[in-house]
Amino acid sequence: MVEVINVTKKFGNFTALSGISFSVKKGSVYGLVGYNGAGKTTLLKTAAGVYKPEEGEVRIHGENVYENAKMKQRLFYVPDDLYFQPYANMSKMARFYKGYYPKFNENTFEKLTELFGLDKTKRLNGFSKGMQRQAELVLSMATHPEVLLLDEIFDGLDPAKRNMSKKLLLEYVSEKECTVIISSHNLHELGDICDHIGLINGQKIVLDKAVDEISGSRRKFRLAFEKDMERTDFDGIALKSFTKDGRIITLTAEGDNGEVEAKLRAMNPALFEVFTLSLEEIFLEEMEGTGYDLTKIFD
Amino acid sequence: MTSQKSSISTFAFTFLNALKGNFILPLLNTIALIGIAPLSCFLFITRFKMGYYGYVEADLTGPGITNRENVITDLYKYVVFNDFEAVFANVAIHFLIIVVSILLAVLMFRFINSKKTVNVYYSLGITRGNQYFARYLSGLLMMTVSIAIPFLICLFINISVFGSSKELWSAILFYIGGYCSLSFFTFSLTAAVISGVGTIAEGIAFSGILMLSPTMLIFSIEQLMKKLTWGAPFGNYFYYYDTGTNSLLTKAGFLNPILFLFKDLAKTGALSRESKDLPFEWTAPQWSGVIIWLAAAVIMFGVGLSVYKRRKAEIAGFFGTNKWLNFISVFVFGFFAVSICVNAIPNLAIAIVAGVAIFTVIYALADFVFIRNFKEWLRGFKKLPIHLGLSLLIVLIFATGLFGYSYRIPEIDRIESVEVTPLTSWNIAEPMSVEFGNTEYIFTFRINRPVEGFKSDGDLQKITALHKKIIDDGRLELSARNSGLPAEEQAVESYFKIRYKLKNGRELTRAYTVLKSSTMTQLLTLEETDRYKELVSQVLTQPLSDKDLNAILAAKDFFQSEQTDITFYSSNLNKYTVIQLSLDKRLELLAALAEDLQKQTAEQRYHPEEPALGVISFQHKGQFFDAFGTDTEMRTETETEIDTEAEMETGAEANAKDMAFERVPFGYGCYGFPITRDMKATLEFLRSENLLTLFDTDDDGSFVSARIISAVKTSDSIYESYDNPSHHFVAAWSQIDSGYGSFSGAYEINDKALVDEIASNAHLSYFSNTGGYFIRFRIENAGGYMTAFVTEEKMPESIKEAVREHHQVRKEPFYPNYDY
Repeated sequence: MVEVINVTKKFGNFTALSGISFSVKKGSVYGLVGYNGAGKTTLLKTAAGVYKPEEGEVRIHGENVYENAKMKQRLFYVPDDLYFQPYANMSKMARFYKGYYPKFNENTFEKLTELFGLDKTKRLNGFSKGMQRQAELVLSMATHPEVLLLDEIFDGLDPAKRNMSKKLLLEYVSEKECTVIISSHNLHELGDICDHIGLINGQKIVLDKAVDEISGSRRKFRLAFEKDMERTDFDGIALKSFTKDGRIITLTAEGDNGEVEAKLRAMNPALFEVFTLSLEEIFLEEMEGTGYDLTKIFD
Repeated sequence: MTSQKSSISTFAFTFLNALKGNFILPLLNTIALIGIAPLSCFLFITRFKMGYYGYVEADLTGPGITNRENVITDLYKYVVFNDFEAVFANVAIHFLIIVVSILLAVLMFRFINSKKTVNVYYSLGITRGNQYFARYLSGLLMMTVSIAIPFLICLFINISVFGSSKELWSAILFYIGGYCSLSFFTFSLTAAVISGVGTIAEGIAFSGILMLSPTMLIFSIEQLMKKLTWGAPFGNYFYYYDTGTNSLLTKAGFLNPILFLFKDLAKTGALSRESKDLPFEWTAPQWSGVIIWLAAAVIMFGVGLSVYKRRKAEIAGFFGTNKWLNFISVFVFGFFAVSICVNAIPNLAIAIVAGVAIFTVIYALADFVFIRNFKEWLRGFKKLPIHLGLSLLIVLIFATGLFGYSYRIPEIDRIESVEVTPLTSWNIAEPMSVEFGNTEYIFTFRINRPVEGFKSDGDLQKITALHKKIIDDGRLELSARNSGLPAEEQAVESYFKIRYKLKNGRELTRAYTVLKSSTMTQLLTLEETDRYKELVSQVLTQPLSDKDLNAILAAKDFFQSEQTDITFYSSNLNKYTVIQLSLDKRLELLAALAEDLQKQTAEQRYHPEEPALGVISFQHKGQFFDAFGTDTEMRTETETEIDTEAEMETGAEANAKDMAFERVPFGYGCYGFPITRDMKATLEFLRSENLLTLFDTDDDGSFVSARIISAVKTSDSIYESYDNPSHHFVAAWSQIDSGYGSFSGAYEINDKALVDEIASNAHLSYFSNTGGYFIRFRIENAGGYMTAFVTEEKMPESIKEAVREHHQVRKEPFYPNYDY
């Protein structure tokens, strides 16, 4: 189990994370989502013991991970910006990681390398970006970690390899009850593989829910009224978003879907339609700022 | 796998991995060191055996040498570097080891300065402490092997040639231990620096700066002491004897990671002896410096470890993140600039303003490089006052006497003995060192060798009283040329150094470069001390003894041996006579001279009322020196033939060849005694031997004209910018009107009566601090030219006025080649 407890991380005067708390159960795949610069990588690095938080801590199986050599031997962090030793090939990197990961499995390494069709004797810096990611994934899984921290792991992979990687991960999680935290922008992928999603915005986790819970947790309502309606006419409802196109009003709201629906129906709309929001729509809804009129930009 | 076992395993893996990944640089270091140490050792031995150094042939004629092949083993116990090469080799090895140690540390720890590598290494299953320690040990091991191998090769070479000896092993171990301590400290420092900065460039730059900073800081302090702390000897290198005691860098070498090893290594290069009959004089090397710096390396390791553990991973790749190193680096350079300004610019206020300005520029430039943000850079100026304040505080401390440093005189009962650098070259114990008197550099003399051994209560009282007088005179500024001050009140450039050797083994040294003229006159009374009298008696009258120190032995031999000519010079130096005395008579003459010298006061010797009757000069027979003090025996082959012939002639004839050009009875291989009327014992001897007439000038030896220049005021007693200040004038004669135009354009008189009047008061030897005139007389009938000195009081008023009008006023020190 991975517990992030009230973590605050600062870089000089800049606060990247503020009081973030969440937990990931054993055998769970947790997706970390946020806009660029939200703090996803910072959070993963803190969880990996690379950064030391100003406040709070990250615990794995109840132990603080920072400077915990024993714990880190059971954890593998795959960064977004990959590093391989100069002139190293996969074999050399395997030997390197073998020195630090007692559970490194040669058999797994060989099989995964073959599965991905990688040449373990070739220089890694000569691989394409996608191949490098594959190589790193192979190496990470060969260490048989109990915790995997993956930063943009699918970035650069072709669809086939992406699919294969996802299946491998799921298989590994299922077999070894590994805890995985993945950061990504690609919500479709996260939706496929994650059972939990955490949304970082404004230095905080604004959403931390099971995927099942998120899907269908928020609905979009499309309404039309006989008279002209404004936003203020919906004051009794905690609106999340509100757009008006002539008489057609499209809105989302916080709170219990049933209650919201009941309130809206009570307003006697001429048109009443309900849609389930996708993860992406939920993400965009949470992350969008003040909203602006694009038509005015080029005036 | 248990935690401890896995911990050891990851530690060992890190250690071995670091070795494998970084061995190339230490390997290259080994190769380079082999090229310096064993190769040098091997080449020296080979060349020596081939007779390259001349020892072989020379020693075949010497005592105790068995045969050619054994010469080197007879003369050497071991050799790593011979004397000449030791310095260069040590410098080269120092440089190499420092550079390699810095670079190796950079390589070993470069992973922490890249964001990419930090992600991997900090997430590995090893604590930061173990990671640092493993790599650190790996680096130390590689450097140790890299340094040891070349010197072990030297060891084997030496064993094969000279056999094993404890001295050899001691030397080799010292070389290895010493250079390892240098390497360990440098490596530790760099590792600590790298742990605290964000980029490799900073790591290298700050490591270099920190290694250099003791040198820069000590040098800066030396500059300040030289200028501000009155009495401080540091920075005043007026003679090569002074470089040891007057160099703060040398004195504080033990505080300097670059210099702490030099002195001891230089003494360890080889062990030799003059001949087989003499023992090898060996002193075990001093390990204290090595141990201290090994301890410093351990401390630096601790610092580095602590910094590394606390290091924030996010600084990787970012420049200027370590504010402390930024501060120290800027301060070291800024303070250096301030000290240079303070020393170089005469006016202290202007010097400080200039120093502050330069410091500000350095600060601004450095800060901009570190920060690279204009607004932040402007805000950063609030730290500048701290830098400037600290610098000015240090300047103030030195300027206000350094907590009583300038006023300290040890109590007499704490003093073991005193050494002084006298104002003249009277040191009779080193007669061959006298280097003054020359027709070209007529006004200038070198700083004299120190005289040691003042021990009696009377002498200590006298010296401490004189020292107190100097202190009471206060810090002096050189008097201006036309200050109008009486001569004795003027502050003149001079050099006087006192070195107290205390009973507790310590020393207290003070040096003064500006003295009051009246104080200088008092300092001449050092020649009235027990020590002076003791030296005179010892050298001139006591027989040679095995117990004598080499210098005394040489001095006695110089005066007492029949290998030394005794030449009598007439009062105009135009006539000279080399006399032949039996050994008994020679000793009688020396006894008379000794009696007179011991009775003579400083006033009689250096400010005599009447000119000397003549000069008695001692000079090694057959050893000739040209005007520049060059031993003419070192001339080319063609000239050597002539010299060989000269050696076979009588002393008088031989001397005549070289004396044709000029006569310098007081210097360059001669020791001259001006004989004055108060020297009763000597005059009595000369009278009894009918030698007094040798001082008489020839009938055609009178002066026909005189060119006169003012010795100006005492403040202008320095006439050469690159020579050293002294005020002891001595006369010289030359065949032609030589010199660098010293007298060309000078005021000239041809009135015989007037010339004779001036000549009657012309001194052959005088301490010119009271002011006066230098005269170049022309002797009739192409008799040559003689330079003498006349006091202010004895110069006719009309001549004084004429000379004053004739002289141009100049504001800079006078140069002999400067025409009026």
